Amino acid sequence: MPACAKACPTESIQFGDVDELRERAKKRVETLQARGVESYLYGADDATSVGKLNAFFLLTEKPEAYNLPERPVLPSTRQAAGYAAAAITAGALALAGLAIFRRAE
Amino acid sequence: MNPPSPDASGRGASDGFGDLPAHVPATYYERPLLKKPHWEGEVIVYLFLGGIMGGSGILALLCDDHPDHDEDLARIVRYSAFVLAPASPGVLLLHLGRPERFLHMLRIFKWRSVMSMGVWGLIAFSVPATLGAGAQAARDGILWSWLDALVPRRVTDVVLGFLGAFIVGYTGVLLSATAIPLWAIGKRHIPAFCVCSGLAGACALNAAILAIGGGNERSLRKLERLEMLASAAELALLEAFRRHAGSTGDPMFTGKRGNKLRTVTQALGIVAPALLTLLPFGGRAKTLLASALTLAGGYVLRETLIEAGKASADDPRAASRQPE
Repeated sequence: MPACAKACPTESIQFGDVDELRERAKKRVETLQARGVESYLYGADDATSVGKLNAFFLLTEKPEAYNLPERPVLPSTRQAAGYAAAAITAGALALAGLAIFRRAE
Repeated sequence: MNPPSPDASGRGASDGFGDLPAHVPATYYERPLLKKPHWEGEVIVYLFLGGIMGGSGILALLCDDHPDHDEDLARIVRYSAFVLAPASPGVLLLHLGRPERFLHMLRIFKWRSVMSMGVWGLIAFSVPATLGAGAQAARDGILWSWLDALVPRRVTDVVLGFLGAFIVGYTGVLLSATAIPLWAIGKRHIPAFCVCSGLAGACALNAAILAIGGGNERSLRKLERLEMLASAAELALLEAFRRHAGSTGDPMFTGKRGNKLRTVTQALGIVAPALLTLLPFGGRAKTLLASALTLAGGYVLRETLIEAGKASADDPRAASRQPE
């Protein structure tokens, strides 16, 4: 068990089998909601996580209030669009350049 | 639930997670969500030189031996690609603080890392750049003449063109593959206008050198025409990016930085050289002035992009809305 989970005085940090933790967290959310406290899991599903990170939070306010992004995204997923845009632009300019440079007058 | 201390930045809460009370703050005490890059002058100079280097690669492809080709221009383009090939990554090495750290990049080849691809792209570029310049030097009588016969200049020029296109564009991809809001939201626009600006800069630099050497007037006209085309595309893409980015683009397009971008890059760096080019008089001095303005505009574009990106990283609201 990691030291942070061991030392946590309020047992807010929990460590264990992730499926079991997820079940426990879901039950806790239900309990809290029954008491009228808005709560949800952050990082446990696709909407609030970038794949299986196996770490998640039970939050009672919007993610921004905890300095977490609304909906995290893996920055590297933007590469394909960027390379494509660069290739199209370079290709178009190179074709125009060929027309300009190789036109025999 | 313990209500958090009232926060002036409080935003209506009915947008996402149910009926959270209205006092829920929209940020964590206005603290930045991201750590911003500490990039300073060297990185800006690298992006600027790298753009010209890549653009010179594309020009090498265009100036390759063809019926209407101009040996003077081809010589200048090959030499400038050769000089920039070590110069631009050299600036990046200085930025590392301990330049030998660069060697660690050579242990890695990773498709998913733009930086790794960039390193290998820069190294690959230096091969045809060196071979092409070597063959050119042989033709010019500087090196042994058998070198010219040995190097397939056709092949090196085409390879230089493709690698140049990669280098001129990858810097934009490098920026947008981060969490920095301004760069992330420009995942298509930034690489595209980096390509335009890099090619325009390469045209400007090579035209200036050609003009100093008293080169062929027709080659100058060709360079000017391509530069105008690339600059016009850059202007259109910058405007498209401004509209696309919305409030995330404010650090780049408003305030002091926005004014600098509009005056130096857009007015003096794109519109003014185009007007100068269209003037029926002026000769060499006009070409030199237009080139200097284009290059200055290209530098300010990189500088604005970097500085505005850093500023946007400080805005927790923008950082929280991570674009796809």
